[in-house]
Amino acid sequence: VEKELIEALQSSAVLKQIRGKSDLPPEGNILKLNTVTLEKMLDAFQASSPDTRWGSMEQALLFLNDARLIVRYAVILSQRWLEAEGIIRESDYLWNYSHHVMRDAPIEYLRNPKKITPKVIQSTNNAETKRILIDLYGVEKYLHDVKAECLDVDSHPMNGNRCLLKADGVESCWLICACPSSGRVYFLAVPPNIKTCKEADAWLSGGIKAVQVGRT
Amino acid sequence: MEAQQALEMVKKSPTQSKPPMQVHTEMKPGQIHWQGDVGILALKKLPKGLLPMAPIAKLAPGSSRGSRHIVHERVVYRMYRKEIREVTDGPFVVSETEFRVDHPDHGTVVVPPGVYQIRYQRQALPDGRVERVRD
Repeated sequence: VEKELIEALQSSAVLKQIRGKSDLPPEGNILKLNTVTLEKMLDAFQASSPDTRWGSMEQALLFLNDARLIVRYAVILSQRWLEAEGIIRESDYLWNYSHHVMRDAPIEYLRNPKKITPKVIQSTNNAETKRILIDLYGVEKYLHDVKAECLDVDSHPMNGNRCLLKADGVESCWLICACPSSGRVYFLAVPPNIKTCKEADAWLSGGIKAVQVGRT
Repeated sequence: MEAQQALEMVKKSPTQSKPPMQVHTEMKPGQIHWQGDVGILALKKLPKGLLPMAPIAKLAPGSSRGSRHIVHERVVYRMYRKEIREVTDGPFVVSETEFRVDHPDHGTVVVPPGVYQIRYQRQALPDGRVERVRD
């Protein structure tokens, strides 16, 4: 992602137009862009089109597009710094938050994981948010606290090792599986009448009769 | 087996350090490739009664990172949808060329020209309702 962003910024029409008219970093030194505020860039861009406020609608749109790229790049740089400082445990926490995945899980849980309870986790429907909450709470602790009981285990040639768990006081069962690409462990809720991992997998897939030929 | 033991077994599932790319040179009707919670199901032909829709590059609804199952390049494809959809029903795709679907976390998949339905995984909610898996 970072490489794509840098390439896009290097070909930025707006930056080419205003380069040399402000204290923006010279070409080839685009990594220093994070120190350039959007306001400064906006001022320089407007100064480059003195006849009208924006020059043209096309120029305005170009600026907006480049501003979006810079914001994305700033998010990546911020993540890296927060990780290095030990403020966040995984870069995807902030990334996900910045992309509104964490709508169901207020930021206070990220700042203070001690506020997370099994009830909070169980009332969260977003699979990625739930994964993050369980991870912050502690997977082993969570299974212990909800008195999880194993109903079935199996190993699928494409979907990997899986287990079916039933928790105390929870209506549904969970198929626990790991993403083959990222290794992240997900708790996917299935109806309580399901007894095996194979049945759970078929239910999650919508009950269609299909032959799986790949998983990424 | 104890729940903790079962969890350890799941964690030991083989994973790729870098998301792999899978290229299917052939997909027979009834075969499906799952990219995370989104499935690409090969069909023999389009079902009757579908409604045409403007082609979209993003195959799953939502604004999150997890929803970014993106058709990589501008390929010539037509899209259709069911008038009444189940939570697992995504759009139907008719592609004259192979098309590639990228995702920030999952491996890329390339499928050959053909007729496909995009499928979504579902999950059971605590109140008994069923919805599409969101991530």
